[in-house]
Amino acid sequence: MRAMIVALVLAAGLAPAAAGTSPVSVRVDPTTVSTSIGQRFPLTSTVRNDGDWPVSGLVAHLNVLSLDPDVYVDPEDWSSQRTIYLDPVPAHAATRLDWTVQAVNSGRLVIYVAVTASQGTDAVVASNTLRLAVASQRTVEAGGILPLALAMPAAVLLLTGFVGYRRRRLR
Amino acid sequence: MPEGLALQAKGLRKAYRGVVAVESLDLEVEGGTVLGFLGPNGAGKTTVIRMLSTVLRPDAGWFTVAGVPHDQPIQIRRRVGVLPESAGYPPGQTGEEWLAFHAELFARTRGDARATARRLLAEVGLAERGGSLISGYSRGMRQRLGIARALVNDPQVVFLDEPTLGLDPSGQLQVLELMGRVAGEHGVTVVLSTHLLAEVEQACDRVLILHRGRVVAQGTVAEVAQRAAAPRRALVKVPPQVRVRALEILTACEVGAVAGGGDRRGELVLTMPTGVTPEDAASLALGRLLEAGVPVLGFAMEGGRLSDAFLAVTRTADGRG
Amino acid sequence: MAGVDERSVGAGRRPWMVVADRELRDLWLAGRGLPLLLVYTVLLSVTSYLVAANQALNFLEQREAVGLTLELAVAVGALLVLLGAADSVSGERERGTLESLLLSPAPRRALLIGKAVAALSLWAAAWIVSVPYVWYLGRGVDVVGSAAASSLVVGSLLALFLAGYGLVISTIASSNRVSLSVSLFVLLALYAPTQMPTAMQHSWIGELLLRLDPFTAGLRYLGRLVINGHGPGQDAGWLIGPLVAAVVAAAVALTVAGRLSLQGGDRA
Repeated sequence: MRAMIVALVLAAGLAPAAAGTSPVSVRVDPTTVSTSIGQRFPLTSTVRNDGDWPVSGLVAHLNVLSLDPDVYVDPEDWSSQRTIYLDPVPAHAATRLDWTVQAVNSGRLVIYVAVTASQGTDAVVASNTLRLAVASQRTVEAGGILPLALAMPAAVLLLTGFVGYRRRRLR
Repeated sequence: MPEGLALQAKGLRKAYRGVVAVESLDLEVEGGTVLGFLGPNGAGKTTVIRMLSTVLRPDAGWFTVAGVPHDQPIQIRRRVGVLPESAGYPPGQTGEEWLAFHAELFARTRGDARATARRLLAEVGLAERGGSLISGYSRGMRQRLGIARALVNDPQVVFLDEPTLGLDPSGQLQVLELMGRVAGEHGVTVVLSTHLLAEVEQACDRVLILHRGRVVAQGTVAEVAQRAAAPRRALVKVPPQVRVRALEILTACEVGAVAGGGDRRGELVLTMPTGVTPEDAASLALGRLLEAGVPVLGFAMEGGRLSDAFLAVTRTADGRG
Repeated sequence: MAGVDERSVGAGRRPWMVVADRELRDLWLAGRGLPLLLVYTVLLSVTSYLVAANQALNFLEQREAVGLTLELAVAVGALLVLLGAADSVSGERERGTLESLLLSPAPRRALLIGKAVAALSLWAAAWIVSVPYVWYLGRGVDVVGSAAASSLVVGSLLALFLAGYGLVISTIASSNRVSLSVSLFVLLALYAPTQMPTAMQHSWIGELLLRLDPFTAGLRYLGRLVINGHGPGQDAGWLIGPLVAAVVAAAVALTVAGRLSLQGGDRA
């Protein structure tokens, strides 16, 4: 009878805490990336089921945080697809998840993947971290745009004057 | 439909928000005629022109223009030219550009349209100003430009709505001369809408008088003048000392009633009845006075003109006659 | 004298092309086109300079700068089109030049199409002027191409919608003042949903309103593509509203063309 209850619980998802650590683990690769702002880079996470039963209803979520308290990070800007709903993972098997991420903030940041179940316990399994170093790159400065900001209206003004002059000669 | 009719209309009616502008208008105009369209302000002249030129749709009735029935407006527009009363002109275009544009709308090629524009500008006396902006044109020049626009498609019927409005006398004369030349040289039927009776007397073969949306008289100028039964009068001015003698002579002529001029000293008024040819009667009376040695200081004919007929018929229509 | 119907029909250009040619010349050589473009260019210059003067401009803010520039270009460009279309018929009516057009054998529809072409040219000029700014602000953040292309699509749909709408109002309005007032009022009403509280915007009715409103739907699509880095097809659903609005407005305008008239007429 007791074995039947344990089997039922295992089949429902993650094993209860009382039974020990979760059979699900997640890992990200690579673990360090250096890039510059605006660049996209691939990220792979592997969700492994070390348990004896298949696990279903897993949800993987990508998170980004800055190690610099002055930098505001909105993870939504880093990847348009931050949540993946996994197919059932067979026992002693792994599923690979591919993410594409774009570095939209500069500085030192950390990326990790959290996995939880859509039903059952509220346990969350977090991956190792990807340590990210993003170099800033200033491509826009006020002094640089000034010629453009002046030239465009000047060009239109010249054109307006020229056309007006031509029409006035027709009087 | 009888051949040779440039315009024909039956029972045309138009009302705006319950107010009748034109009531049951019938019309027949022979080709090549210059028709004077007379009427006071609000008579419905412009409304009639807009209906016949297909700018407005009549509420009732039918019409044909140059043989084309009213249910083919595009075909009618190909055959008519119009100088609208309240025509506006784009100030930023030259006369030649504007005319060429309208010529192209009548399916001419670009080159043909420009050539047509230059030809018409020369015809209306604007050849030297064709390349200038319309904003620099005087009122008279704009009217001439408008007449050129009315001719851009070599029309069979031309409607000129108040073409001399706002012009000085010399400008009016120029426009009327141009209109006469157009009618004569191009052989088009011209409908001249105006409230200036002298223009109609001078330039038109036939006249149609509109009043409050109804036709109150139509025919030749002479027919309308006579039909209105406006009495002809002759004002005879003689020295006061022979006034009585002149009165006796005129009475003896038996060409009409004679009366003193009232406030006009020395003036005698000879009123000729209908049925008497005014010119013959006046000639007889003047001749008798001169034979009798009466010095005639002045002799002027009054009444029996179109203006008198106009006033008479419109007053009658108003119930004041 | 036989009138021009005896000439070979179609010897000249199509009526809508003749009208479009004339309207374009009136707008750009003799009218308000260039002064309006000058004001628009100054606005873009001031905005982009202020944005670029932000010393802390980072990647995301750079994308937002591009997004802001595009929003401004699309919004002001659409406004110019609406003003041009709203004045096109009622303005001619008040200036007294409409009657001459109505006296030509050109189909009424051709007159409206020609005027629509001129109104839409204002958007084309606005977009062309915005490209250098987008290029400069978007350098290095991999957004210039997608920004330019998406703004062209969104702006063109909105321009077509507003051109059709403006022409309809201009055709049936009793005066030019009424035409311009009604047109501007509707434009403001279209912009209003963007001012909804955030919570309401995320509700089902708020989202429905945002999607139905071609203006907000187009700007939302633009923002997601440029600022959030979404792919062109990812939020394509947001373009349904602008597309439907453009098609419906164009169809209604062509239908209403038959009602083009002097409206009321004067009694002589």
